[in-house]
Amino acid sequence: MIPFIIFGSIAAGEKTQAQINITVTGSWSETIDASDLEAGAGSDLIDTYESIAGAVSISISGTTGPSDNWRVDVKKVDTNWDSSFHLYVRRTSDGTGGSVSGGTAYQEITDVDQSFFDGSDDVGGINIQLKLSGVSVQISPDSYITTVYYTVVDL
Amino acid sequence: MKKPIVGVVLLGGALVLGLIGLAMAQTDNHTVTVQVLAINEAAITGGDLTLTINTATAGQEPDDAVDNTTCDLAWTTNEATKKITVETNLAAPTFTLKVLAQNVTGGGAAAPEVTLSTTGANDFVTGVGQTAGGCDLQYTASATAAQGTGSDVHTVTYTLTAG
Repeated sequence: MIPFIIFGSIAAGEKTQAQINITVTGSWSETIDASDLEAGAGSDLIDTYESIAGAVSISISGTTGPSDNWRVDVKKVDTNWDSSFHLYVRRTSDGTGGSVSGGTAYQEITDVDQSFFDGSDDVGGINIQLKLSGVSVQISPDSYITTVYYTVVDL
Repeated sequence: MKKPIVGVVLLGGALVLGLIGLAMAQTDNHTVTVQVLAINEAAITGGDLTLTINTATAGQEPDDAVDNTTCDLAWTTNEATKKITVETNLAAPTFTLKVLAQNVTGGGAAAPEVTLSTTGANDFVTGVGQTAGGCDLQYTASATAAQGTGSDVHTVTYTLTAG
């Protein structure tokens, strides 16, 4: 039993050391009404809407330093979402601290995890912008909600 | 003889825990809410219209005055099962004024020509749910010789309503 106890302690120590965390703050809410018609009565709704550049902020913490590389994946889980909608995300700032790369062009968020951007070390205040397309008068009045999940993977 | 076997199994378990720690991922989220409000917009373009009846063939009633180019109606609705009705505010017109939707676009069907009166709103275009469309407004004014001369002034109202 003594050898087992020693190995068990080593394994637990590695897990604590790699306790990388992601913190997401903010959200995006868009209200669409008659003021969003392309040209008043007789026209359709504007197709595409964008959040402000820093609607959402992501921070990565708990890394072991500059040599600790990570990747952020993104996906959505719909609560009530019209199938005509397309939701996109992009990174609009590098934040502060370590380094980040990728994710500066809009990519569609789907129902499965996709690589968004990557980096190393602790980084705070990475700004995120969202875009919605597929809006038309054929979308019934309602409140549509989806939840966007960001997962940091310690590489 | 059983103790060594138990020890190997437990050690394997500890190594697996170590691997989980190296590949650990952590998740956070935010919501996106899109609030789509009811939109029911209708607008007339072309402004006010004057129809003048001033010709006739000898031995017959005066010719109708017809205009289908001055005024158009446009609408947008994101609600289902809607229609457009028409009515006038003139309680007792001397002459007859009719209106018909022509060249309907964006879905919807023109109702038969409506003789404007204050008996209530009449269907003008039906089946316009969740559409952006429009139509030409064809007005026809008619009078008999026995009705003499004069003028009627109508305020014609089009309403996008539940249908």
